[in-house]
Amino acid sequence: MSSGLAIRALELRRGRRLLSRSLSFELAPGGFIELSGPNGSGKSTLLRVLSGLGRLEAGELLWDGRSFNCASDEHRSRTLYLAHTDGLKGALSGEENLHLFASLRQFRDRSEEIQEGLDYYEMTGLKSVPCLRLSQGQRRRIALSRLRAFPASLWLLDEPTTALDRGGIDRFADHLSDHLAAGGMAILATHQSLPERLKPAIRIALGRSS
Amino acid sequence: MTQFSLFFHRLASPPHFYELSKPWGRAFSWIALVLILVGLFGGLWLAPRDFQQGNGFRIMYVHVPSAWMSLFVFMVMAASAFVGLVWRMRLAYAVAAASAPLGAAFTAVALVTGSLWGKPMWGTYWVWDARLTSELILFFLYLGFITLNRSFEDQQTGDRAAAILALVGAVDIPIVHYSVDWWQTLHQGSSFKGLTSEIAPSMLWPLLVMMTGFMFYYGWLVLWRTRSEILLRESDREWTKRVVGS
Amino acid sequence: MNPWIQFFRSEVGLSWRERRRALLPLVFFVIVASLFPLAMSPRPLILKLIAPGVIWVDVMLATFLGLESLFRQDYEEGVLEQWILSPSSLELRVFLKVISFWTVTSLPLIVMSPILILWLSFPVRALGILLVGLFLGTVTLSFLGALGAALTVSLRQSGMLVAILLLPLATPILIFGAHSALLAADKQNPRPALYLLATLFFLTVGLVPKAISTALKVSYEV
Repeated sequence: MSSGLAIRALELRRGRRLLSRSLSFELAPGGFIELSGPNGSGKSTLLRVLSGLGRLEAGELLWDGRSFNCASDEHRSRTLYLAHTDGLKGALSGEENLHLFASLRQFRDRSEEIQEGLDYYEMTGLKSVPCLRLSQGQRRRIALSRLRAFPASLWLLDEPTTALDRGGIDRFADHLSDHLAAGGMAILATHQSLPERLKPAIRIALGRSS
Repeated sequence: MTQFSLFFHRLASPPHFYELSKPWGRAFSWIALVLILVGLFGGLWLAPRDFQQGNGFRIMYVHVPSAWMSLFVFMVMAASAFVGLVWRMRLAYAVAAASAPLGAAFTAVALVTGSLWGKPMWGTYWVWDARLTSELILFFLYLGFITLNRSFEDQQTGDRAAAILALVGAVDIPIVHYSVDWWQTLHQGSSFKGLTSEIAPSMLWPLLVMMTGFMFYYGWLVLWRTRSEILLRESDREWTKRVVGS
Repeated sequence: MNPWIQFFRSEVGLSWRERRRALLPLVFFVIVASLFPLAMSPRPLILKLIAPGVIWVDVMLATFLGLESLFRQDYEEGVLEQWILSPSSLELRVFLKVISFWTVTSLPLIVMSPILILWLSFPVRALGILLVGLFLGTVTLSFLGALGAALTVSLRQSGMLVAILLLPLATPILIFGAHSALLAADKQNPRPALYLLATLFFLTVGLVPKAISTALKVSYEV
């Protein structure tokens, strides 16, 4: 029985369009996958299917060797998905947003971890400002604080470094390294090149074959 | 897999259905034609005049089957919607989408013939009769389904959203009927009860023939329309290209 | 704090922050009611006859007007995604969202309705029945309206479509609701109408959250 995540013969479609006929890969704990490919090649679609938002057309998904359902609560609580949109309510401040997120993830009190997450991404000073009034990069930092404040073994990140400055990208790289070192897994869709020290276990280039 | 579920799966596969529906549709169209001609002949010539309504009652031979079909088609849509949502069967959504305009048309015919019938009966083309009112609301439901189904860029989203509406609508229709009946008795409006309880066999048989004929007519049209719906939905698959290419 | 209570408080808080938007249905409600005496006749006899119908149609339109965009902002900000991906009941979350909407938007309509009754010469003794009916009716209509909003959440122009979807579904509520008030004003027994309205209330509250959450998932399942 292999531990980690395994995908077998996954069919990817957006609407009627076939994006990938049969996608297979395995990811062991401590590794991450870098997805690349031109716009519309199915990077986001793959992440959405794995998160449980998108529909699984055909294929098999295995976690620690056992097949699983992406829409199950078990899978949801071990996965964090970060989309293009930061998933932040504009009217609420960063801190309030993280507390709202805590209630979504069914946590009772998460103040300490939230504080730590905001600290880590250097957003403590702006934590009470409504997200509406933050810059895109600042919002992204708050969205990333979520990964710090809430534990999950699989990260599904769609362009996580967009709008981040150099310092922000470094922070994120450190964070990702910590996550992997602790036995976590991650799948990243990205256009930008990641810092050198991050070596993906697998690189998957989508969109050429079909 | 049992024999039956195997058959079911084969039938539900769009290419197989596409092949099978052609001979079936053709057969249905001939049966419908014969039944409707016989029904019309029986209803318009053979059936005796009604002693109260004269010849006016003969519109019943179109009105009653249409009204019956308007409900039947909605139930077919709701059942397909259920199958589509639960078993994710692509064919089911195509059947629902193909049925909706047909159901709306039956409803419209029922409404128009109902008001035409109303003129000699009540002296006016429209009375807020319980059945006509329910039929009108049903018509709105059909309009909602059709609009919703066609509103999305992605047809699958439209199919699913409309399927939810069809299921909610299927629960709603009996409630609407009941509420409108209740409202009628409250206002003691002109409710029309003729012809349903006591009807002479010579008047009844053409009606039954017409109803069966309408069922086959719908069966033919829905097969025919479902064929184009699945071509639309499967336009980028291999078998569609083969079929359209040949 | 219990996460559900925290969620509910945050939802109510958000609606309260945007109370100016929540006020619009109330203003609409009052203005529409004032149009009827102008359009028809100021004679109390006529007004009394139409009052229950006017108030109920008015309440229905005002509720739907406010509901059309119920999930729109959450959808655009990507918050709805997080709802769906949360390892907890989406139905319960939807239920709380609708109730918080109702508290901020529909409750003021009910509070305001006695004033309209004065304008429309509705007998004061039937006020209790009207209010009970409006309570049951607005909650039911809110859930139906939320269903319309959920079905069309990914569409940009949806106002008219939502109306077409909802009006047939809302007809029975309108019939039972308006007639409970009408019967009460007419010194007849309004109980059967209220019981029927209550039945629809429980049916809707019980079943529609499931339909709403399915609709929300569908709009993400592209």
